[in-house]
Amino acid sequence: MGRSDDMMIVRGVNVFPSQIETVLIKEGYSPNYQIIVDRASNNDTIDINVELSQDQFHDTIKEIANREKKLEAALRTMLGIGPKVHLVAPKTIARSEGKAVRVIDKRKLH
Amino acid sequence: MAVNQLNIFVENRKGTLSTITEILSANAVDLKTLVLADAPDYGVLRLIVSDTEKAISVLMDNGVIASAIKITLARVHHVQGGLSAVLKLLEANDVNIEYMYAFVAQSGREAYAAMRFEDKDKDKALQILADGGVPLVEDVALL
Repeated sequence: MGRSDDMMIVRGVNVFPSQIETVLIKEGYSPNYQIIVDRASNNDTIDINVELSQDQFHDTIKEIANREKKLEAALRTMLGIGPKVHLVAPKTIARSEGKAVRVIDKRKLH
Repeated sequence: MAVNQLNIFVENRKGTLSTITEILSANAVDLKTLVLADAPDYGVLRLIVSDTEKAISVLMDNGVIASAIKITLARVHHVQGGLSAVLKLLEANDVNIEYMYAFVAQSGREAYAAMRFEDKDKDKALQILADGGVPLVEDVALL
């Protein structure tokens, strides 16, 4: 499940970044991602920036969107909460180990 | 009976398009047509270029996602109803167009309609166009 200090609690659910990595690899995407956790109308939101791979690219927007939805569904099944996926260009997400870069938590919980 | 179309993934971010055209220009790839299909977060740039294989190779070397697909390029008369006649032919035979774009030839007398059919309809569409006497272009050097 990954190190416990990588864990986030989003909408009351424990989320481990390693779970996201597992799904990305299984679905044919690069395991480089960035998680943005925020809060809108008293609800946690989770957005994941994912680098598009050559294999998942298609000339129609319709098919790219289908594959994006399939990835969101796989992530929802794994995590227990539904993230919004954003596809970005390859090698645009900083390569770094650890929570600091992978996770951006914008929630202000005072 | 088809020409290569170059497809490029473009993130919705400042400078993405100019980076792509710069890479192609630096490698002497000539653009014949350009269409950008957009979704909220990204777009797909569809181009007909002088050398698709070379374009894909130099774009991928620069970390840009690119692919090629065969599309049908029909020559239509550049007169009122010229395109309509071709589309009616396809409609009468229940063939759907996934997407298309059209442009006028340099001569100004003729135009071209680039059409992407769903894979299941492709062979049928080509047969209908051939039977209907619609000329198809195979050599993009002529554009």
